[in-house]
Amino acid sequence: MSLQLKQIIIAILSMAIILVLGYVVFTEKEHQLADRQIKIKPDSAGCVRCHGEQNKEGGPGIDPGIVMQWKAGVHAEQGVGCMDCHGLPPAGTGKDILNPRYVVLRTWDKKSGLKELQLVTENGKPVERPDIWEHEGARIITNVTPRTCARCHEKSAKEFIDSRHASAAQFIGSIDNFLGRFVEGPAAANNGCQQCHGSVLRVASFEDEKKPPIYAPDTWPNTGVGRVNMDGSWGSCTACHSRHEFSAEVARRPENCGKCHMGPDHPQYEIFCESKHGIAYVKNAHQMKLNLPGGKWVVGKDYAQAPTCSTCHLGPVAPHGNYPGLEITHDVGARISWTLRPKVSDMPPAIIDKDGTVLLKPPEERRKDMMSVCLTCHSDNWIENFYIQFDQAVELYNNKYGKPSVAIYTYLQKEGIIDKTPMNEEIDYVFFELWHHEGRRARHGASMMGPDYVQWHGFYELSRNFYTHFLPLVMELGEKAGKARQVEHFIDQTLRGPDGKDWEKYHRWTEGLSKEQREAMLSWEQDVYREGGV
Amino acid sequence: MKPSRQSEWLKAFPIDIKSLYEKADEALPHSIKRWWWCWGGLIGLLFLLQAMTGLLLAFYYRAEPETAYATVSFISEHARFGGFIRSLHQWGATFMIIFLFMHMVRVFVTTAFREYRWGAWMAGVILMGVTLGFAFTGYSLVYEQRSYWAITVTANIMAYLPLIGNTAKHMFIAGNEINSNTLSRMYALHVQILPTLLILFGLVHIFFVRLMGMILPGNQRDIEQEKALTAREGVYHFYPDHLASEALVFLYLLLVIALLAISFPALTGPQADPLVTPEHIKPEWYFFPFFHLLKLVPGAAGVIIMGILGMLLFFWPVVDHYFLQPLDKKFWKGRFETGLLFGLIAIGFYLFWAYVELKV
Repeated sequence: MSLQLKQIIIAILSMAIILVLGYVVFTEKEHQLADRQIKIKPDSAGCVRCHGEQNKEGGPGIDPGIVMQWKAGVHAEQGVGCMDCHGLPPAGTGKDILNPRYVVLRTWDKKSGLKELQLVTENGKPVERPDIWEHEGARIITNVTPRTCARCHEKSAKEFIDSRHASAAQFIGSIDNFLGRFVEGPAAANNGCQQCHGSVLRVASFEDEKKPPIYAPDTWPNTGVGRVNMDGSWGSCTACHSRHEFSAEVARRPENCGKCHMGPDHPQYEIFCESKHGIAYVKNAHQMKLNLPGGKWVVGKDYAQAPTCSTCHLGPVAPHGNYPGLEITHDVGARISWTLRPKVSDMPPAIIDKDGTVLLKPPEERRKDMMSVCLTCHSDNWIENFYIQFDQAVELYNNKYGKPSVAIYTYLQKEGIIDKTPMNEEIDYVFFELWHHEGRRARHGASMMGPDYVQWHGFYELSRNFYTHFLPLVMELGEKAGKARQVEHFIDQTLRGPDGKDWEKYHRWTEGLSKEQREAMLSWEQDVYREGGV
Repeated sequence: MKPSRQSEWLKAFPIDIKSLYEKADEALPHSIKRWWWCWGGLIGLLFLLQAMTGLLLAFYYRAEPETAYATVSFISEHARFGGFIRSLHQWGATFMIIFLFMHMVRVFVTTAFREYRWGAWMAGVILMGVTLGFAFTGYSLVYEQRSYWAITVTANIMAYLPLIGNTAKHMFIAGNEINSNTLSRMYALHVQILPTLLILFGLVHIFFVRLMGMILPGNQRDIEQEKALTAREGVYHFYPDHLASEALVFLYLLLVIALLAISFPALTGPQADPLVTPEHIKPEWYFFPFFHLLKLVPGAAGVIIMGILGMLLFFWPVVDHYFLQPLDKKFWKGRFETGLLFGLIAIGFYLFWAYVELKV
């Protein structure tokens, strides 16, 4: 090949390469556009500019943090703007009951578990929520509610609204509520209880629609999960998804749940941290792809290094073995069989809607679903034995401490030995902490495999307070009331149980040990702890 | 006569540019016109492509276990032209290996290592090792599952080295198992140590090639034909004739690489996960022979055999000089093209066999 021909071919090849690079530049532009692009709708452009970049006077943006958070989230990419949530759908758009512009009334039949929703009307017309105000020519709301989220996230919102989470503020009349509001004082309830359970939101003053309403300071700010909103709905999606980024990742992190599920009465976060699951999470969190899009974070497919609270209680599960896998749910109770919250644990029954829709499966099916999560990483025998251990711990609490202490406390009230005013006597506190603090710690510890919470923070403190504090105090109260023998008899009957078996099983040791029993116990311990074990 | 504007401009430089052209030129035999004599230079040009694309990748890449995979994903998905540049780098590496082996086969079958061209051959074998090192550390840096397990397997193989096994393994991965320092060690190898070695031994390689000159391949008839051609047309020039051929072949290959980068962009496998051992640990195709040998002869014996084969390859010109040259005259009879073809076919068949055998 001559040099000249080579030069011609080189020129042709160079042109071809330039063309190819031109194609790359052209397609790259498209790629960049398709990449993370913030979409600002015309009706939200003013909000973004004034709140984020520059106010109307040319000064800095009013609250740029909010806009920055929104820009960092998926909503900004999907073109969901400020007015999609803070604006209101026009009247006559779809069913009025679904329009967050109008007030609804939610009721809850605790017996059946069913929640009803009614549109509030006046003279046959739906009533607008009382906090709508006019801002820059648009009618807007500050308090965004699950009814707004439901416009796009219908399934998730429905599951959440039907869940216990959304009912968290419905604890009026409970001992916790009485403690916070009356015994401790309203500020304790506002800053404490309500920040997790949710407030009943109220407008304190509203001069005219041109100015924002002033929410009552004892109800707002509030991101409690069961907040009762200005449109009458219950719940707050922000409780777990944190505005204005609304990240799926934040809801997947156990630290998020730890805002409320911690402390002496429900230390689930601390128990998780103590458990093998929590240890694995701390070590592996960076590999767990926690930032995958909503609903696309599937255990057994996308990650398996460790579970978080979300994994077991809510997250989707990949099919494995004979299990078809599970879909994501926003009902935290969907996979829980026992309720470990009350004085005596039970298994809440199924909740079936009037049209036959299963809103909450029966306990055995809920357990089966949870087992299906566990079985992603554990074997059948492992899981079955775990549940046997867990059930035994709950039954031990129920039969040895829960039921007897409830019976004895109720007896004291019935006999007039103590009055029915809550939390005004020492016995009220001792009894309260038995089930509400140490009793829950023992049960929660067993449910999530936190051994120290089962033992030292749980059953140990439960035993010490039951035998050396609660029972002696009951006896003392009986003596003071001149009913010592009656009270003693009642305690004896209660601890013995209907057929005396409870005494043999749980309380007989209090009678003391004979020499033979002590020797037998010593011999047993030597067998167990001798070198090499048994 | 008034000097031209170009000559005036060249006077600004205190060097005689024209003499540089002359120095760059070299009288070559006409046999070098064959396209496969471009393969050696092609590897050097591909190295330049790798260096340029690698530098651009280094703008974003961070060699830490927490960030490596994420930064590679970022390069592929978000960085401007990142996906294309990464794909060029990956395809460039593949072709560098392909042409390295083809160049070696060409040198081997044309017996270009003979007549005391030992230095060029030995520097070339070192360059082969350096290039394979580039390839290995390169795909380790992605920190996908394949990266993690390739490092693990290689480190365990290293531990079989007699006497120095454990020390070598510790030096390689900064400990007994992969840890937070392993990746930065791979990165240092990939962008600092190996490029230095490649440039150094590349210069040694070229020095020996220029020092000893090109071999005149073929049998007696070919040699006579070459002499006649030289008498008729004069010598074949390195500059501009052969350099133009190199440029032509390289541009053609660059076009192919760019099209492959667009059509089959570099993918990223699952992220490295120490908890999940892949069902098949699959090395890149150019490591199949090593991997296969270790499957056939596992443990220290396999490593020793590999070491012996490496030494044999390195000292081949010496072995050939003293033992094989007398036989060769009867065996090859100077028909090197046939040898070249058979060499390539043999390697292709071996790789295919290893592929099927390993079920990868």
